[in-house]
Amino acid sequence: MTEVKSEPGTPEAEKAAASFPWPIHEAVLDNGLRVVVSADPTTPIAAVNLWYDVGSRHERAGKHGFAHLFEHLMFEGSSHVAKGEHFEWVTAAGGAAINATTSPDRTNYFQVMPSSQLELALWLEADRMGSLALTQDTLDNQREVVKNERRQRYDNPPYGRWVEYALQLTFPEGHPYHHTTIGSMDELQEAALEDFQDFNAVYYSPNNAVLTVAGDVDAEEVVRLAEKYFGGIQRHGDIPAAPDGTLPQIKIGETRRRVEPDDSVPRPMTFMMFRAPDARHPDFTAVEVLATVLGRGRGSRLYRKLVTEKNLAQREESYTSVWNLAYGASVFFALFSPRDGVEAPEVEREFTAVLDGLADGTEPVSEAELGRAKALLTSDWLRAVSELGGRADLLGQYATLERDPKIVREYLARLEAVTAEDMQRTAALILPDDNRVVIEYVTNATPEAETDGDAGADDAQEADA
Amino acid sequence: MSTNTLVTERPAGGPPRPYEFPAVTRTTLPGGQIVAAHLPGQRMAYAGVLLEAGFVREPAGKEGVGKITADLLREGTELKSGDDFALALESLGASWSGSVDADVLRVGVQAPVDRLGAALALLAEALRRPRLAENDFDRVRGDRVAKLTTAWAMPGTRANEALNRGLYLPESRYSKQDTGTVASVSALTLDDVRAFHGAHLALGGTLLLAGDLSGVDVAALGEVLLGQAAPEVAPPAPTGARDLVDREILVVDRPGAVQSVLAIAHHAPRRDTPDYTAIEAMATILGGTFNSRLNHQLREVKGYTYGARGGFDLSRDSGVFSATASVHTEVTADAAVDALAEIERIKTGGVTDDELASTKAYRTGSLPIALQTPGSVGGALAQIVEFGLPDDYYTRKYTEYTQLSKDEVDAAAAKRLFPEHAVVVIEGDAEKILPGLTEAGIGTVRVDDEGQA
Repeated sequence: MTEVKSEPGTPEAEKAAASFPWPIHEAVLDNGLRVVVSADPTTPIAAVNLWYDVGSRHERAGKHGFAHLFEHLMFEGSSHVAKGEHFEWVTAAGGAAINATTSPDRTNYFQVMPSSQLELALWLEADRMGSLALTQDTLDNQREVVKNERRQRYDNPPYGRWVEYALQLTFPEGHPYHHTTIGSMDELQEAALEDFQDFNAVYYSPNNAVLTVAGDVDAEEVVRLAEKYFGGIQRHGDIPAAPDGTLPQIKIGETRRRVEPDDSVPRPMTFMMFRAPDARHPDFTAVEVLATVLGRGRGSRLYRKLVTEKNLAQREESYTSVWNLAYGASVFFALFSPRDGVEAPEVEREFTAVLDGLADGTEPVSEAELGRAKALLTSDWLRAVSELGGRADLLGQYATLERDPKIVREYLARLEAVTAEDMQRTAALILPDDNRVVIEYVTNATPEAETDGDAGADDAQEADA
Repeated sequence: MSTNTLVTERPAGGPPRPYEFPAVTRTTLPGGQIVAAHLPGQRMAYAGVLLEAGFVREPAGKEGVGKITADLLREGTELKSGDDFALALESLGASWSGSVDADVLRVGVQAPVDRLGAALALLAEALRRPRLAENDFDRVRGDRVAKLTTAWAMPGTRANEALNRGLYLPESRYSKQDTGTVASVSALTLDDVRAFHGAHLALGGTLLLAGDLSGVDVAALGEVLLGQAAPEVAPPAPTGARDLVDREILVVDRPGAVQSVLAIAHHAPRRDTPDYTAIEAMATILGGTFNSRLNHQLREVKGYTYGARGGFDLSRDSGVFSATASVHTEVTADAAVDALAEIERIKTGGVTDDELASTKAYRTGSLPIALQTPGSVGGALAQIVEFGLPDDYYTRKYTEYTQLSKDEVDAAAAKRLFPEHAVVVIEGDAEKILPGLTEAGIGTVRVDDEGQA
């Protein structure tokens, strides 16, 4: 039996919802699978997106990187689909944009199909949800693939490991965000088949997933097809709570610094992280605006100050941005590279002076700066929803993290409501020096690096051991 | 989970609705053409200018001047400082893009459709009346040199550079990096930029528009950009391809690397080759998708790599086939042997009926998926203009794919692949990989140390 909640898709209601003018139709299957459909007959294609409420934050000590390795195993076959056939059949049906991603918070699987082939995607997703084939052979193979992914992204390129160092300093030992999604070589090497069988049994259950379909489809028909393909999959029971990500306070409480002397890096580079309100917090949109005002684009405050006016830093498209972590705290992120002949500490002083000027209210955000940031973020949004894949992804995100896909309609209004006071309040909360992690790459061991006495450096070494 | 009831039959699905590319309109003005695609209901729009200013037109020794010139367009106009220009553009919600390939240079903006006119007026101001000030030039050149220095340290750049030198004679523009080298860019002067701008960016071009143009005065937009006649464009220098006789294995040393970048390449026909669709289909089967032969063998069977791919990059006067993968240092030689064997296998054995059927469905099905947004339709218009393709090229391509035969694809594999004459570049830890590569017997191995940032 299917419980269907629908909303009137009147043109008036659609017009009112500038963020997302397409209808949103929701249903829940008896096994707990949530189904979200957004019809748009303009182009004969349909985006299918399946979000599982499991990410690297659910992993336990010694088993880091398993959520991501599991994501790889999901493409290795199931009862009626041999290894490699998921991709093969989707492409052979004219589908594209097939992939999956794992974040700290969740794992998602997606493909875009000709709408006449929608059923194939539903069948493939249902088959692996209900009967994943986990074998020692495919585990051994994908373990090697993931180790190569780690080498390619983290170990071989210069600066590749900065994010590991930064997360270790930003979140305490044992915190769900203390580690990266890729995990460590040692832990990947130790992964046993039972670990993945357990992982599957606990998290890859219909009541821990949201299926989203956007495009040239009929909503009622999609719900009927979801029932046909997913309805026979039993729920695995209640999903255990994730490790607690609650922090006693947003602020880290001090500056933590790690200096990384590394002859393989071509130029000095500094990365910074600040804990920020999480992605479900009412202030999160304001933090996104703050990052855009301060450090995104040629017209941002940091660019104008550090590049045009003082000529201290290399130009970047983005000096600051926000990572939308949804549990515990999010991360406000910054980076810079000094111009040739300029020392990194000098750039850092000027950089943080810009942050301070906003945090202490001496250089408040102007209406023009606010308008510029909102215009850029509005365009980002319009671009994202101009693709069916983007629409399905946003619906999955709101349904999974906020428990309600219709919140997708509120984005532009939330953005519009952000004020200059919000900028100052969030800046005062997250940017001061008692909430800062600094990872400084230097091209060789400078005296400062060797004698760095900052308490944080010790923490980092310990964490890395 | 044996209690789960799953549907055992794979759904057959119905035939796709045939695809039609949006109608293209052309308007001729003294300085060039407006090529526009109307996309009803789109809230974002793209406007771009395509100029005959690809890197083949850069004078010898001035490699990278095109990219620097494009970068400098954003540093202010005769009327606005760089900061004021950026604030004006970004306050419209507009984002700027720029690209340079062998043949053309393209700059463009994406903006909400009701602000397209204002964004395009700013683009026109930047393109036709840039400030080109000495201090901005010094800064932008410094940025570009730093970027090239960083790129040089990243895996893959040195392999790519060695490949270009393996495929083209030293005097060929193609033998050097697309965006120039540290040496060539460091030597550029503002006069070089002014000369390049005057010759290739000051006048003329093609205006590309994609978006919901129902309320847009296309001719007025074009007038802003194309009101003045374009200068005559001289043909570029000859390509300068090197004749490849025997396979060459070039090792670029990267001490301590935990992975090797493997690249296999050889020459290919020009973009206007009549068997283009057959080549594209063959390349898709060999290395174009996740389940391609190369990725399947190197990743899914052997676990050597996170991903392997191969394909053709064809320009107006030159073309290259390449296959690439980043592989674990210890398996470098084995991966090279396997990759070469896959190329040889498709060349001599052709493709299977299943592979062909699957690829035809994929290429036709993915066409509308790839062309959903104003930005991607703008890119498609750019291809049409750059290579002189018909306005309904993407609609025709759809039909061409449905009619493609196995014989045509097999012929493309036999004729367009020649692994025995390829340049094989391996960027990795030479000390660790040389013995294995020599033992593998896939060609004469030589350490290449001619590269420089």
